Amino acid sequence: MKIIFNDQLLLIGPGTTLSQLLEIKLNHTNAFAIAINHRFVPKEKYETIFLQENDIVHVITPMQGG
Amino acid sequence: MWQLADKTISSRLLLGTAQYPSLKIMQESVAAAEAEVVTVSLRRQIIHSPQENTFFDYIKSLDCHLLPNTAGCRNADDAITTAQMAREIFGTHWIKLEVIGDDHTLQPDPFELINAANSLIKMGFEVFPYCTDDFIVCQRLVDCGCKVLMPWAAPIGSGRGIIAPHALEILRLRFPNIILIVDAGIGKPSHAAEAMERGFDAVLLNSAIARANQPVQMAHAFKHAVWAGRDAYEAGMIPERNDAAVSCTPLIDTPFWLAGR
Repeated sequence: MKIIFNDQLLLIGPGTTLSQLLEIKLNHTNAFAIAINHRFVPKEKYETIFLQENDIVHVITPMQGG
Repeated sequence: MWQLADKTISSRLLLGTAQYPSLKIMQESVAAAEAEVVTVSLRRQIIHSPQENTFFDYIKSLDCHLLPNTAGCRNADDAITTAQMAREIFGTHWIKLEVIGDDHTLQPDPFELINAANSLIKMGFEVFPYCTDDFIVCQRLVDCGCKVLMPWAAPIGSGRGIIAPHALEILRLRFPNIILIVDAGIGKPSHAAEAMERGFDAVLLNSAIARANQPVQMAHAFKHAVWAGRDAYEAGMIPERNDAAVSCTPLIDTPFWLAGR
């Protein structure tokens, strides 16, 4: 099953949860938030969201701003 | 001390955290300005970057209230999503709502801005809308529940100062109980002082300090300008006169008063 993770094509197994994906792909302890298909996903839902074919997942982190 | 939404603070200078030569200089500039509110933003994670994101560590060390923005958003939906993510990451319900309608001037899109403000307020956010000085737009934002308005002085980063003083005067006059913060377009400390003299509650700026040759020194200058402008407003300035000059010195019993006749 293919998804887009941070603008890159990624193949994952069916039934993969968002939580499982992040465990593999995030190798840092920075603060972050997640959007799937441009919609915010709160942290408490990571374990219960099963990724779907063609989902677009973005990891968002803090940066400087004016 | 004054009340900004649910926080009681003393500084009336809010600072952006972008464009500084380094994070250390940003940190020193915020300290020199004695700012208590700083703006922050969000970005997509950079893939394959081995670096930890140290920015947030610097920000946390400032011990300031954080005002996340929705920079880069061009419609209400994106701004709402960004605000939700900012609330989770930064742990604040404050959001500086930016919805840009024009890439050249970075002028806000008033229609999308009002739509987004309306939704976010219902979701429990304290919305700080970045807007133009248009009275009707500001009125609509107040109508949907905004307690703070952040009209521009001039386009972002232009450094032109207050380009429409009359429009800002109208906002102050018509919204006496709304917190008004001039946001964007400030280039010099005198611009900030002018905004404060006009009764604005605070000034938010970034480029004027971050892009100065000596950002820390400029932060210091802006701190004084904001205080000077506020003190002048509270002290009550004399009205301008268009007619004849009036001597400052009492002329009664002036020595040699008749000598020149």
